[in-house]
Amino acid sequence: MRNAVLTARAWSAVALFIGLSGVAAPATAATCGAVSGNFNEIILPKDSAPNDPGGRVLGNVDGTLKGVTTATVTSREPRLNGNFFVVTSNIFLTDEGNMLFTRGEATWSEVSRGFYQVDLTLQVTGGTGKYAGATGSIKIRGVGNNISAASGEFVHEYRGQVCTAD
Amino acid sequence: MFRKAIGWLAFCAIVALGAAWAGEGSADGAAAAGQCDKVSGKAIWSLIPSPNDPFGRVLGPATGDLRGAVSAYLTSLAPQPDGSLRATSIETWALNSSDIIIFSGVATFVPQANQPVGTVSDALSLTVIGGSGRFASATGSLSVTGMGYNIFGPAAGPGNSFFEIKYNGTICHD
Repeated sequence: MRNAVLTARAWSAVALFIGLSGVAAPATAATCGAVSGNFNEIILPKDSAPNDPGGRVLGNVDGTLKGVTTATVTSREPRLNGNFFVVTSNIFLTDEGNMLFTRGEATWSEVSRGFYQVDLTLQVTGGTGKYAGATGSIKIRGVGNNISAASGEFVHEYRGQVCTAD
Repeated sequence: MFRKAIGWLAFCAIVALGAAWAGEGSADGAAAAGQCDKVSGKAIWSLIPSPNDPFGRVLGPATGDLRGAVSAYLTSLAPQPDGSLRATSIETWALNSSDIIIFSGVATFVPQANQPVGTVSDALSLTVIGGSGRFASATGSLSVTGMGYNIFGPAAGPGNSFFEIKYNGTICHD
């Protein structure tokens, strides 16, 4: 009987794991604060993110959002001048365990082959813990070094404002 | 004659010490790579929204010898007859802007009686399958133990589901 109960729980776990992608909708924001700092991102090899067709990055964050970050490229459109217009989905997880969800729009300006200047604007779309229901905007300036489909790194500086519900 | 004997003894001692040091370096037979390090530390991995990963993905910081950002996705998750869950995963540890280690993982999650729903013990074995930078030809393995909270049940989801773990093992690299 105990086994049957546990097995049922296990199946529930499977169902919940598979279904876990929903995030609470943003609430009205009330308190705003400046955020700033630096972070780096490594483009993960294909084996590390085979389900993300546009690629995934992983990195460490310093400053107000100190912790770790990951992002996926949801679209990347080449421009006639060799630049790219890139749309991203970024998550910051602070050392305190708060998550900040953002959607980014970037211009990658080619400096030389495989090297880019990055101008990225992140719109805050919500979060968890302290950042539940957060809004705001974060500007990012950075560089991409040795960029290819599954290797390379970005080094960024970020500055912006995040508003949280009271 | 006495001086010669002393010299020979010193030579033998140096050879013996060298052999012992080399043996320690290849502890647990982890690899033929240049340097083997015993590593240990802690990590907290939180479930994140990741719609492309059907079994879920976690993200979190690791502290200790392999300090950095970790992200892992499950490649399989299967309930076992004894009520536990067996999972396989691919884990990527980004230690800095050039050094990453990629592991293949096999985990057993055991639901804990008399604990809030979704509390599990986590026993995870990680084997190095790749890397870059300093760890481009790394080998080795980690043993990971800890607890998972809100892994399933009504409170499960990003921001609530997380693992609190300790790791130790040996990593060999050039």
